[in-house]
Amino acid sequence: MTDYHPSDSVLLEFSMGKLDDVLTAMVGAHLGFCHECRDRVRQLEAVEAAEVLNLKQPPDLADSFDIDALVADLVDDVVSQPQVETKPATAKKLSMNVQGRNIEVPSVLSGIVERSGAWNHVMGEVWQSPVAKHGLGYQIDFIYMEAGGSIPKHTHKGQEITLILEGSFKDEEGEYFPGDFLVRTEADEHVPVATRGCLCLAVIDAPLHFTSGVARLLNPFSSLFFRSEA
Amino acid sequence: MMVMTGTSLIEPEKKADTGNANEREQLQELMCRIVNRRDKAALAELFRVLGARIVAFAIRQVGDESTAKEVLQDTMLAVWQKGHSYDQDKAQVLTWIYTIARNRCFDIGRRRMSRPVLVSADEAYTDSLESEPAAEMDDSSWSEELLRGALDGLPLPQRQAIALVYLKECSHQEAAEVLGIPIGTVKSRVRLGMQRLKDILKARYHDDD
Repeated sequence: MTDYHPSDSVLLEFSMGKLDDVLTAMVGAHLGFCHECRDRVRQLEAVEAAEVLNLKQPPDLADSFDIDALVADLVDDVVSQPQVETKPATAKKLSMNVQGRNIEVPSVLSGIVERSGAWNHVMGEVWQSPVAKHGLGYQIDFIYMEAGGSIPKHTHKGQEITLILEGSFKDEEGEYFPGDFLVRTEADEHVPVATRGCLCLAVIDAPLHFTSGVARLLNPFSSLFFRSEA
Repeated sequence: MMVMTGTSLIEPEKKADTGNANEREQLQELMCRIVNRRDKAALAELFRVLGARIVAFAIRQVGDESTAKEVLQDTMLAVWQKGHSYDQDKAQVLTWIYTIARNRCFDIGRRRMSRPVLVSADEAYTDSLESEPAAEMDDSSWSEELLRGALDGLPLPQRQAIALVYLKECSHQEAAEVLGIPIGTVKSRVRLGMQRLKDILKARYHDDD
């Protein structure tokens, strides 16, 4: 059970198939942890199905579109196709090697994990594995903080979405555990501190902006934490 | 970026208006004929009802009519070939078919983009796997009377499914035909029923200690 969830509008876009690949994978991974959001997505899918396949409304197609002829055309072809054997689904395991440890992560993240690079030491007890060649207009990183590790107080010039995969960290707002899905905006100033060794997937669309003490000296270099691909 | 954090677009209490009971029954009956009797006419009838709406939806999602027709064909194929996995206890026919069409649009839409594909619909939209309950029990520990008493504690749909499969020794397919429900629903009722039966027996066994 998790305490921090994607907003209803994000779950709705997920249920409509409208989110981009990274957010789809992050929400999919959250659902693996969260019964509540799984139930909500099922409910939203039913709402969407009733809207999209509403039998009371005429379909939004030209009058000349002949569905009976099309279905008659397709049905023979469909029933004559060889049956594709589907193997019973088995839970696929996916893990990441972090600081000599193998940490299991949700298999829906496989396309992101396989594009992640070597772990770089960022500062203190914080490591970063950037995800490259994803073609999206923001930065994606796996972040690992050892217990006690922290990132200096900062805001974000855009949005940061973080999915906790293992361990825990806390900031001024609360403590976060695996499956928690956090959205931070420009209005949020925080100091994340790992309470246990913590692996996260973080997506940001603008550089961090450090706001406290000596860490402000890092601001000219904050783009080191941010490399947009687009 | 792309995430809204504001208020809900949909009221939490809002339930799907999934058509009237007659429509639901009609779709349910067509699904049963497709799955249990491999009835091609029922497949055609189902998609004469839903097909144009699926094409219109797919055009909005993927942008052109010929790809939308491909989505329709794939959706029909999935219903024909994977209908046995449809579970009416989890979703209505309409919702199940919507998710198939949405998933095809998701994958086909990505195939057409120039950027790498990081996730497939199957990976993203498959519920995390439910663990199979351990069906084995120590036979000698349970009397028939105790077992029948525990069976009475199950909800009727689960009791019926278990009675047909375990007491009457029907196949899942035969049980689906007797009950007029898809085979996937029989399987899930048996699975959930067996899990519940195990819990009831465990509780009673420990009470006797």
